[in-house]
Amino acid sequence: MRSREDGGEPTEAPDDVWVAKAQKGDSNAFGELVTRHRRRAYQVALGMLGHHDTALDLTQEAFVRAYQSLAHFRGEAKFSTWLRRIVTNVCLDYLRKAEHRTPTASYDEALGVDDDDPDGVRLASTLESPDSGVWRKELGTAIVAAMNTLTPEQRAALVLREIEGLSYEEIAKTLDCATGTVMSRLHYARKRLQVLLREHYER
Amino acid sequence: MNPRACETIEPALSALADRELFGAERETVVGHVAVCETCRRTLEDYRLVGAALREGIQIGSERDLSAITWPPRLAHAPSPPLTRWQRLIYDVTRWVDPWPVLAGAAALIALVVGVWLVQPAPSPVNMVEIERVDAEGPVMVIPGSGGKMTIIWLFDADDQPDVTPTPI
Amino acid sequence: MRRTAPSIRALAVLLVAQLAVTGLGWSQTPVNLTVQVIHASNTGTTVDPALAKIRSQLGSMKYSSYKLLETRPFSTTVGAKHAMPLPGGKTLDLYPYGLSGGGLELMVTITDGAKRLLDTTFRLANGATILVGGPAYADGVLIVAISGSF
Ligand SMILES: [Zn+2]
Repeated sequence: MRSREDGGEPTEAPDDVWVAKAQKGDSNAFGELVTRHRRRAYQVALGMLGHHDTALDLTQEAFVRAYQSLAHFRGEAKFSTWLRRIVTNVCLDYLRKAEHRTPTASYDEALGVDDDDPDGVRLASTLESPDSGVWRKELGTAIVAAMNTLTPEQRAALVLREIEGLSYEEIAKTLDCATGTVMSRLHYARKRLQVLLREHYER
Repeated sequence: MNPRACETIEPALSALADRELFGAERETVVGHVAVCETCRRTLEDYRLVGAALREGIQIGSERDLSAITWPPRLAHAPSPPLTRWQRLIYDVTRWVDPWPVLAGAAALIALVVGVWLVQPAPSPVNMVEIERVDAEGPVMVIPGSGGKMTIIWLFDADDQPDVTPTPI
Repeated sequence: MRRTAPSIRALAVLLVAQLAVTGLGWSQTPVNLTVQVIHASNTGTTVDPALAKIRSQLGSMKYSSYKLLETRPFSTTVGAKHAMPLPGGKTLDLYPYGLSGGGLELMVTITDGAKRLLDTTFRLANGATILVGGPAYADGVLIVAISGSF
């Protein structure tokens, strides 16, 4: 079952069969696409937002938007590529609005990245597995904090590169920008993370 | 190593790490890194941060994602505009798990929906097609046909309705 | 700090919901929904003239008195969520989430405090009406009629 959800090689009918059915109004077919692609989509959202509940909400939101614009999906790209673009845009939208709407609140608050958040499951705590020890928990917290200082566009570029493993050209297409822009966003993002996380890598 | 050289090389290190550097530019950067401890450490830092991020996302995404579903479910929160009371209801309800209660009604719903499913498909004009019905108590679905409206009727889970419908 | 968590999360939810309304939505298909809230009981024999049609639909669920408590038209778009209070402290949530097969896909929930009385999704043809009835209210029941045109 996992392989089906991982969005890797589908074990049954390929995506475009389900897409075609869904375009004809078969809601179950779209459900199949959701089940297949939700984990990959969620990973992008979690990387960009650093917060479980918000990532869950926005992934669902992305599927709603995908469903609404399914008629415009012509199949030039793979469904997963098209969906990734939507997820990225939904998260970018959210982050940009969060920036505008909460000028006094920090990113962390807007995203619920709050040390006392009783059940907000943060990226930081995901590194807190039994064998990971304090160091990795601290690193997780530090990464979330450092990621939060990046611009939404820098975060998007970094996630598409590190999590999705896309080439600069693919990232440029996803984000509607030039490959040179991708290169400089990644440079600034990594430079900043390096500076902020330096102490965690003291050798 | 000449720090001036590092300044000019540094913007390209990230692209080098990503194997997105080509031709003469790549030669120059690779040549510098071969002899520069600082830039090698920067590359190693980039790699470590990337690996930590990937690992965090990997572990994070092993959570239960069944909440992402189709048709979509409303989040526990009703949407704005909300009154103060609705806000309060929301804050209370989000800590309460409705599933055990719903499970009790599931068998009956399955029966009702099952009966409904074997009915002929309604004509698309002026009609309602029901996709899913979950209710806390017993529920009856009367599909509309021939100008009749579709009705979803909820019965009280605890006690029978005190209102007896009058005969037609 | 601990107490502030729900409000932070509420803020996040509000932002998400707001996105659904004002985001760079692909499809901002306008939709008109009308919700009528009706109190049906066996006290008296008043039937609001506007409800004669609905009364005739109810078959064995007939009551002697029908009062229209509220008619609320919504002009909205696909993807926007709405909540409206119902009498007796209940809440009605409406979420038109898609258009397909010539129908409007709608999710409707009715909650009463912690109780989730109804959680349903259906496809509504243009101009069609669905009746949701049964929740106890005063000396009778509530009936909610939802119709859509788009
Ligand atoms: Zn150097």
